[in-house]
Amino acid sequence: MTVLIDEATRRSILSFTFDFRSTTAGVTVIILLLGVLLAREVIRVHGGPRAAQRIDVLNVSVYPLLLAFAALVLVRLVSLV
Amino acid sequence: MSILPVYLLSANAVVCATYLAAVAMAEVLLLTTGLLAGAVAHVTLVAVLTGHAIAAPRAPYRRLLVALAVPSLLRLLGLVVPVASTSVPVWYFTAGTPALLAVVLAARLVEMPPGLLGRPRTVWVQLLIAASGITNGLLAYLVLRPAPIAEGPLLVPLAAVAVAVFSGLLEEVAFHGILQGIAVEVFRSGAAGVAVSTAALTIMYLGSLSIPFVVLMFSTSLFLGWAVNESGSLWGALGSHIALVVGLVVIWPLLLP
Repeated sequence: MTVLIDEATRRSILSFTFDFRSTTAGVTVIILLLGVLLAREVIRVHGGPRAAQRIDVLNVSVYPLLLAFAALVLVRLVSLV
Repeated sequence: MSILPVYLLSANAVVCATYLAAVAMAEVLLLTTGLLAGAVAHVTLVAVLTGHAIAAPRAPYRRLLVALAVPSLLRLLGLVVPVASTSVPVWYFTAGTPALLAVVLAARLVEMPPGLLGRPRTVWVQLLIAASGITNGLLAYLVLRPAPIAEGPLLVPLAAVAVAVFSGLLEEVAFHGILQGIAVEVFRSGAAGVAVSTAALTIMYLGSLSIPFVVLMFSTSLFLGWAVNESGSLWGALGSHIALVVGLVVIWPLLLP
């Protein structure tokens, strides 16, 4: 009952298998992560006076998404033990 | 001469209202159509907002675009990261850590007004604002009656910390700190800032699937936004929001089962 884990999210976590969520919502988030990483590299290579500022905008999405994947892998490993 | 305030007729208002409507549509899609449609909508929104912020570096609303991308990022992280086989407090830690990083990066990038987290002018006013969270939390519990997310002497404090940090702190900084702070600067109006943050927070609470709870969160957000705007400090609202969510999902379900 919070923004991060609301009732709809809780139901989705409990009613769908992890595999289903990975192959639906997970894939879209991976596409987003690949897209922002690609854009980051294009901007970095292209350079220009505003490149650093533009990369900072992308970093707001890049680092949390990368950390999410790290957390996901860690939790999956822990749940397997 | 128009009877509407000037800020409502500006390009900033059109852009802000359009993206807020898009966030609302993404949430409604998630609730009505399903997981994939909702996730695609939120992913598209993050990509469009980020692209717009990059493509319009001199636009006065540029920082608002970054702040508006944060709610969609929070929703995506909440949907994708938690694993059903782990306990709910662990969901908060796993989804909340990247979400908190997103909020910190956004706050740094958009330069959230630093005075909001500075020393408050009147401490007792902030304490009074914070205390309102206790009654609001009880009201929210009576409306929703959620099951406790943790039981036992070890898990309850852990759950309280997780919810306080990854819900209370995170939401308050994201909505009444970053979004409202930037909206006030962009629109040069405190009322507009409160309206933007309240609209965004209310939209994100649609997922509670309870209209009375959404109405309660709307009025709470309106009050906290006004309190932040009037007092110039986020501390009271932060305390109130933490008391509300910790009471709602950790304490009241144990005290009033």
